[in-house]
Amino acid sequence: MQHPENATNASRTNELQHVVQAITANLRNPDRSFWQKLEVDTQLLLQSFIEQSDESDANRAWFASTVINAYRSFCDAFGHMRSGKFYDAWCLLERIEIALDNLERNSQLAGSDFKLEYLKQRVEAYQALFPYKLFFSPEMIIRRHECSICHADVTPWSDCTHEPGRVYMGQCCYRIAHDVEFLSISLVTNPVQKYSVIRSVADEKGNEYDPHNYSPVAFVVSRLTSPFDGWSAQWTQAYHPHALFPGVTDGDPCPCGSGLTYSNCCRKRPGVIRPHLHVEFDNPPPDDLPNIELSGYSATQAPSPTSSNLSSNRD
Amino acid sequence: MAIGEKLLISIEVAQTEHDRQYWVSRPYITDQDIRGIVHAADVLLFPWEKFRDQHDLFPQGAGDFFKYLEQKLPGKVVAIAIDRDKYKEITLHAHEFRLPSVLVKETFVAIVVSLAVHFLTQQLADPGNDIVQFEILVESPSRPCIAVKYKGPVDQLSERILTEVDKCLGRPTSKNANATPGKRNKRITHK
Repeated sequence: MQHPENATNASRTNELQHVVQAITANLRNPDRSFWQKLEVDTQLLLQSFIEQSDESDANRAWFASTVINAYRSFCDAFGHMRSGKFYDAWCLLERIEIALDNLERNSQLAGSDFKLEYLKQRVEAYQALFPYKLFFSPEMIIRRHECSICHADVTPWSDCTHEPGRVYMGQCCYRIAHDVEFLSISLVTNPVQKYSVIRSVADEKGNEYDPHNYSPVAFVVSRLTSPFDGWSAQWTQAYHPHALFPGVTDGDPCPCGSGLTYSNCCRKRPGVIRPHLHVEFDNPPPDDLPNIELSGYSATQAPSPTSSNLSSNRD
Repeated sequence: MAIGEKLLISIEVAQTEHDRQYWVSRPYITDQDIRGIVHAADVLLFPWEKFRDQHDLFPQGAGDFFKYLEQKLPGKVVAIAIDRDKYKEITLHAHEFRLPSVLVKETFVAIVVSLAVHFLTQQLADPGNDIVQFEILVESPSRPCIAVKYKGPVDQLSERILTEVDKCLGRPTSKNANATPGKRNKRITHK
């Protein structure tokens, strides 16, 4: 790619077209370095459009750059999941979700099919595997807002007409909060942003540990070779062998959570009814990985609340 | 709401003493010009009072909704019931979009509700699933002021609020208003 500083307006517009073609030709490319290089090139192009005050092309370059960033982040998130950095992956998935929302509000390259709906579905599918169900959410008073585009104070009576979430001269508009007063922090199930999860709790001795069970995520990603490999998952209920609950006596509460005693509930059945995740992989998983895994069980301890079994379509 | 439960729709309708005179006389309006505008406003945005026992606040984005209404209702008076230097917004927990509360004259209900739906549809990332909150106070020359509080999906907002307003004001409901005069409405049977 020619350096944007030396390019004419027409050649820069052509280069942007080449970027668009490169994206559409690589929508299943799992190589993060490809996306990273394309992102850098597109950022330079975007900068040159801004310097030329070419708002139309700058906005199109912003769109292309945001698409590239979303795909690169998706590859990174997959890598993090594979290496056990689950929270880092979770944060990247949230960033992709925000980027996709911004892209939806600004269809600058409406003629191109970047398969963003597919990417959104993939992101949601991975998010659904994560164990995070409760989030911290702040409540705060904001006394002054600043527009990120014109830097004017934004009040109901001010003249700033820039809309948050819209793109102006290659930059997405947002509001910068000033004079903020925090009133409280709550635990919620439907947060505005999903970064603020419970990352650690302390045991009786004060030792901190991550209480979450990430085995559904690990189960899926370990059986894929690319973030773009297809799969679908469904949570159901299945019988778990009684042998998994050696410490539970007949008079104890049933491990299925019904509230009945064990003897009056699952003890009479072929097993204990517990959550079961069944995953259908488009490509067969490697032969050396088991078709079924039990997660959250121990020979010496009671099963965790998130214990479950996981199976693939080779089962 | 308990974990695992999901709100579908909530609507509350009440007679209220928070009519125009109430808002005109609030202590956070000391500017006489603003008091005059509040008195004359066709559409009035008012704060959530005594939030956490001490704050008079507008939900985040209230200013954008105010500008939107001003733009869509040229020639009409859209006002905010607070001195300008006291205006503050609050961000709240949970992924729900809250519009500022409004007081409208009876004749403006339908247009303001319609504009609210359009504004929300533009703002929401997922209009089919996101939950919105909206409170509208309706003043009528012949009846006490009523308050309708809605919480639910945006696609039900207009019909639910207008149906309740019609009932309270003794008007034919919005659905029936389009029926041919003199003809009985078709009976709908649920199977």
